[in-house]
Amino acid sequence: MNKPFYALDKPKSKGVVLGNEALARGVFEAGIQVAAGYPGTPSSEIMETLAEIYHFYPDFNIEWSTNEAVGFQVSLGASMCGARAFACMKHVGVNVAADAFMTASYAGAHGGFVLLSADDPNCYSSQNEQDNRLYGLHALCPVFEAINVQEAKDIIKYAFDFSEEFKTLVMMRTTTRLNHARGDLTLGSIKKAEQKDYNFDEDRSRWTFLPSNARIQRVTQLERYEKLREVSNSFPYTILNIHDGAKIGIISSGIPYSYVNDALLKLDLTNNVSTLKLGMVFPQPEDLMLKLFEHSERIVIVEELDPFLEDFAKKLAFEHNIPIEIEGKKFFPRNGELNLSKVIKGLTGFLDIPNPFINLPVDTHDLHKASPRPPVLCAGCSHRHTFYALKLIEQKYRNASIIPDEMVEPCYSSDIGCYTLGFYKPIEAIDTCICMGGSIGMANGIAKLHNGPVFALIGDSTFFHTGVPGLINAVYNQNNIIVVILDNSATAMTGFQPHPGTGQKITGEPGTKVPLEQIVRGTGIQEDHLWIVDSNKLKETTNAIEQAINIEGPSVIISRHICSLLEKRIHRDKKVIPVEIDEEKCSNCMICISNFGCPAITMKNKKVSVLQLQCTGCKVCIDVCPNGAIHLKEDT
Amino acid sequence: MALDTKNHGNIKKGNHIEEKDNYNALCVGIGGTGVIRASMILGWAALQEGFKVRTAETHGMSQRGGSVSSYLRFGKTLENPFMIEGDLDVLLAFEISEALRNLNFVNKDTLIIASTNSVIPPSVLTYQTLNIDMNKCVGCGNCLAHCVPNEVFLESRYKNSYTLIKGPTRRVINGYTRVLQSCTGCSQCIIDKVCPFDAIEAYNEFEYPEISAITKDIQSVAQDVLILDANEIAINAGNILAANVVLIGTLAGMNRIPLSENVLKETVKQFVPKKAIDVNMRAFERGFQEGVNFRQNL
Repeated sequence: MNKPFYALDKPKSKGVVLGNEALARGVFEAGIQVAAGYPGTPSSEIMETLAEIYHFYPDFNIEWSTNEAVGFQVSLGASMCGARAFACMKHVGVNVAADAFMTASYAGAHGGFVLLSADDPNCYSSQNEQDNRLYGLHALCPVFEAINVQEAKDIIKYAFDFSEEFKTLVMMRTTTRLNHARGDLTLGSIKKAEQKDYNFDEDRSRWTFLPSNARIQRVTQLERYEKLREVSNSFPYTILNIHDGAKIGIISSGIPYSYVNDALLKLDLTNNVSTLKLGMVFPQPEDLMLKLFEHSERIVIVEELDPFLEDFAKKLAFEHNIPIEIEGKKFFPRNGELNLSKVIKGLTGFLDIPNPFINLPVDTHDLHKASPRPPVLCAGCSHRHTFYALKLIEQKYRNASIIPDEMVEPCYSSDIGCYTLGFYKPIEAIDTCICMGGSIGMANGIAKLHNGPVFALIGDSTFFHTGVPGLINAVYNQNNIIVVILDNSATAMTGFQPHPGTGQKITGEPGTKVPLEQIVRGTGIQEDHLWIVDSNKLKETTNAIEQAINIEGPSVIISRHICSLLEKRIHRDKKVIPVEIDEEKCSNCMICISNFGCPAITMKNKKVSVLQLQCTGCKVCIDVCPNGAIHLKEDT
Repeated sequence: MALDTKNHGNIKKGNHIEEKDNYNALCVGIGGTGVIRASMILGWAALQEGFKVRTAETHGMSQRGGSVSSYLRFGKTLENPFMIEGDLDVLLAFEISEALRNLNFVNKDTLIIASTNSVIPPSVLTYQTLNIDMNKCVGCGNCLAHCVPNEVFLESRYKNSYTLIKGPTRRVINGYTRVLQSCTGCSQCIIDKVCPFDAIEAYNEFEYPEISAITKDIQSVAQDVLILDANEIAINAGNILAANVVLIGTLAGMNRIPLSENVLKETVKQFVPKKAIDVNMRAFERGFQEGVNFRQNL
């Protein structure tokens, strides 16, 4: 295996890397001892890159934890032992870890502790676009942001030193546009972790939050916060750039600052405005902001999502009685992701000058429109097969009712994973998706009122993550739900990461497999309320669903088949036998396309045909076709 | 380009590399076909040429088959990976309708290289259904009796196991025929003219335009447009997977951005498996020739 660029011990070499690779490199350069987290777009590649680096330098610990709370706690424990620790998750993962985070930030760090929160403005692959800078304010925890790939590496490395110097937790906040962007990176030197015994810190009262201790720790936290407010002014990655005679001051940070930089270049205004670029966005550098106010007549704040810096700047001006105009969200949207066009539009609006680029693009008004490509489940996806079985049963009950509108529709409470794509046509078997593990919890409540069958659809990794408590609740309170665990043996949506049920660790080394069915039985689900079926066997699955509908009390169906992409990865050399259509038998009824929806089946010259390269040979469509017109290619 | 006020005083368009502070390129196509790999190759080549490099991607949630756009900027002063709309120097499209989708980034001087490769999204088929004109329908039920998905289910060899979906895709409700969710949109009832009142019409939510129409649209917006069958060229070179390298070769042959042929070739070699280097070099050469031919014809 060749050493990838980001694992090279060659300081000053240059390469083009992904933001997440640069962040992993920074963590590695800082001499990390323990890294833990849970996969989530756009953060996943950071841990995966660290695991790759681990193959060449196996002298630190790294794990995928069961969920973000556990991951955070694992790293916190390591910090308590005086080691450098890293916790990695997406923005909504921080909500899961928040219970520990809010209190741990009282005690602060012993060994350097950095929490990475990867935010997702515009919800590219998330259920919301919450702004996690607000967690910094909430927990009085310093928050760092980088403007490019190089800074990302440098700042996260520095964050560990900072954490130790001020005994504070640090949140490194990134956004999709940094995590998933590529840029040039110059490598730094690798710090070797200090060789000593890392034993648990003896200061018991610091880590035991009995009310009497918590009150003391709260005071420590506030004192630390005062110090951090001061330090923010001399943070090495915070840069105040005052231009003589400039009347306009711009405050920005992170990726939005990179847009500001390019917008000023485009508008030829670089030398006509003063800028304050923040590396530490909480606490904010009050002295530098005041200095900018002093040298400007008007201030504009360019930030994504919430008016976090804007609110602070306005408060600061008010407290110091400075009558300066401060604008922000009036010119930049509070929702979605910023980009260069939006920043130019906002800045020209603020400056009240015409936007010179408005007529630059060609007029596409009269041209054809490209058809959209909504995301679909892959060819051979085992989730599609489980969904199809569910829809077959639903159809059966609909047909049995005399007037279709009279049937009480089943409710499919669902969760976060590839299977959420079942919301779209032709499946349309997803009715809810709020948060990790939420499917089962919400089903408990829906079942108390809804007259039709109530399903909770949840993936294997999500079930381990936070699904288990909901199932225990259903058993304990006798809530009548059918939990369908869609077990494809991977955390597929984020890139096939292993989890407890796969028994493989992030490093590729074997762990101990935690059997899903044992957990289900352990919650008190009776043997006659539990079915374990192969997703790719339609008959088996439909039978299980029908039986489950007809019995009282909570039941569980584990519908299991490995993710088709993962299977292809594992068995690269295995020969795939695709299916083909017997044109004589095919009636072009399109059930295989419009109801089943496998992307490997399409229409060619008004006839149903199979895309041979895409077909995975799962054979399920053979059972779907009512005419027996689909068969394996070798059959003929 | 025209609005970059600096450094473009005496540029001749078409045949030469334009001297600028920053260059903007956009690679578009379908997930899993080497779009992002192509932009990485261009990015590493730009780094070798001594530029700052920024790339960013937008893609859908699914692992395969979605639209992918990879934005690439390199130069001296830039900081962010996104260009503004209409400010593109080069558009490389690996699927033809994706070029159409991204024309808002193009101005009339943008160089467009697009492959005729066309991938019709499954949604075009799965979203098609039927409408019944309530003013014409009398609820005679003739279409119910002739529904192809329905009929075939009654005769199905899976009748015993799957009697459950043999229901019609339409029903007569309150004297009118209604299309149910289970309608596959196969339109056989329209083809067979089963409705005596002509009340059934096909409804397509999405349509994929004809390739010739897309080509015409692309050619109408910019001066320098090369549309070629990169897949065919790649297959002739030895492997369809090298289609992305064909377009990189074409771009090199055009000589429009300051990434030299040799640097691009060396970078391609680093990015493909050892055993595939020969195929990719052939693909590059053939693409390069296409680019040179195009340039000489300007």
